[in-house]
Amino acid sequence: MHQKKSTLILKYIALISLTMFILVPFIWLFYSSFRTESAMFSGKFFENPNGLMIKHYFNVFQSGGGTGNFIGYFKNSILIASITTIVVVTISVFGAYSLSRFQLKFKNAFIITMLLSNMFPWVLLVIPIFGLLFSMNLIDSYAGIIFTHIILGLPFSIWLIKGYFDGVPKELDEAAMIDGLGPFQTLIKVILPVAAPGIVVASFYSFMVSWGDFLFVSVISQSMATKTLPIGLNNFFGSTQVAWGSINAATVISIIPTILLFSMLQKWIVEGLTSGAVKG
Amino acid sequence: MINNKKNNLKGYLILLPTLLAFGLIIFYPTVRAFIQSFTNASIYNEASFIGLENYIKVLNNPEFWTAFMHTFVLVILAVSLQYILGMAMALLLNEDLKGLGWVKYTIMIPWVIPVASTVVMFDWLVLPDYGLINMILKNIGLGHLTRYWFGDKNFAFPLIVIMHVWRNMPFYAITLYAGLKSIPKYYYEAADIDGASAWHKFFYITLPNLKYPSMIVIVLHVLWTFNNFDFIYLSTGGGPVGSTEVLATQIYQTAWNYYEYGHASAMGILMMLVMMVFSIFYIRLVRSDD
Repeated sequence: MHQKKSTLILKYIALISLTMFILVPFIWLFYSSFRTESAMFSGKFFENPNGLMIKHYFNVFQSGGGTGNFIGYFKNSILIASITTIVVVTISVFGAYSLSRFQLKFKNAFIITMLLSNMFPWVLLVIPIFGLLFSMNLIDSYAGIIFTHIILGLPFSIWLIKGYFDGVPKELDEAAMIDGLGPFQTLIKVILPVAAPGIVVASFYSFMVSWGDFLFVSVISQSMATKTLPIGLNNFFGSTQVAWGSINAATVISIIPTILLFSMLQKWIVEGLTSGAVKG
Repeated sequence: MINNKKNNLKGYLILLPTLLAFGLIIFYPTVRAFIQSFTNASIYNEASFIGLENYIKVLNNPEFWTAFMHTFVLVILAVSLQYILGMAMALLLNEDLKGLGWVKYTIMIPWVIPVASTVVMFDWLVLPDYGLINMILKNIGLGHLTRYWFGDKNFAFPLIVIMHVWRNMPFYAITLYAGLKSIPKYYYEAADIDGASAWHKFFYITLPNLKYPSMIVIVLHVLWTFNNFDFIYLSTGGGPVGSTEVLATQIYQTAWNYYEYGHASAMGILMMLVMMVFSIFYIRLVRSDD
């Protein structure tokens, strides 16, 4: 079909504007993180008399560049998000298998409450959770933070993996049964390999929500030892002399892990996220 | 379907970790928050039962209603802008344009990064003299308009709406685009034969066929926006002069700046009731498709 040239140009203008709206903040941050402080504060866009440099990144990694114990925060974030992911996905695989393959009483009621639970106000739940962790002596510990992050990822993760399990033909289970495999072996040897994309997407989601969480860490972490990157980034603003060079570099570093993971798994993630919304 | 008694027991057993996690992290805290909302629990005193006092205090507090209104306006503005722009993006992705593969690849990035990083990024963008926005204004001769946008009573709120749109619009785009691809081509071919205009095709074919994905993304984001705390807390903290205060930030401050847990719980329970209405709506949508 032929379109008029003017409509085609309009479409390109719309596409470019929307894409630029998304990308400009990234580009500006990324570019600024390589400029000298004097260039950043010259009020000029392209003037870089001393060239571009990676000094800010060095500062951040060496001394924190006025950003506190940056390496420590980074390590905490990686550790907490990785453990959260492993725990969430393990629980989800079993939960999803049970909900997908067994006839249980109250199954529908449970699925509904699970969906509902994803929508409780976290600012409310964090109050009693603080009390609970306090009585378990888990305030300011990795375990306490991971405990709260599990619930950020779990409902969606079970829902997603269950969807993939439901898509694995029941005939495969039955064939495995005839071969003498029990339910557990059937899950590991037959269903999991087929539903691998679902596991990947659920892992990514759990990692992402844990990596990005500010609310729970801000309440449960009480010292440098357990602070994560989002808390660290926010702390920079507290200082009177805001070191923008270091903050920009630190922010770039804070977004790289999830962007890297996303770009590697992009096709699966987009498919996994949208299939839920389109098929229900 | 595995269906004998012995196996069913196994079914319950492997559901146990899930049940335990939900019980400990969702149901127990919810019940405890509900009970706490009828007490004067705080860091200063042992909790004792005070009936509906917290609720009466909250409902009579004009600041609560201001935050309630802000939340409401934020949800409506953010979600409708996200939907309109997301739909536009989805329609463009569905066109035969150059460079789309690259666009599809990059637009989801705002969604995967921490909100705290997004806030730094926007703060750097709107900084008084050296932020990109103010530099551009100065260069095109609109220097008198420059300001610290987050610090301005009239612009902080719109800026927060923009951050929400920036983060979530791509999700709408990708979801609606997936929906667009599932509409059979011959619907449009038939409409072409009848000589339907592009607008007619959009309103009579595209929109009705996107009803289900549209409702899902809208309800999900209504709840997400309602619940979101870090965008506002990290960028303006509810200021300047309370102009961006929402329920989530008000509850957080009541609990963690003033340590009035009972009072904060009552506010949270009220917020939960409002969200519950949307949630039930969402569940009905999801279940009706089975």
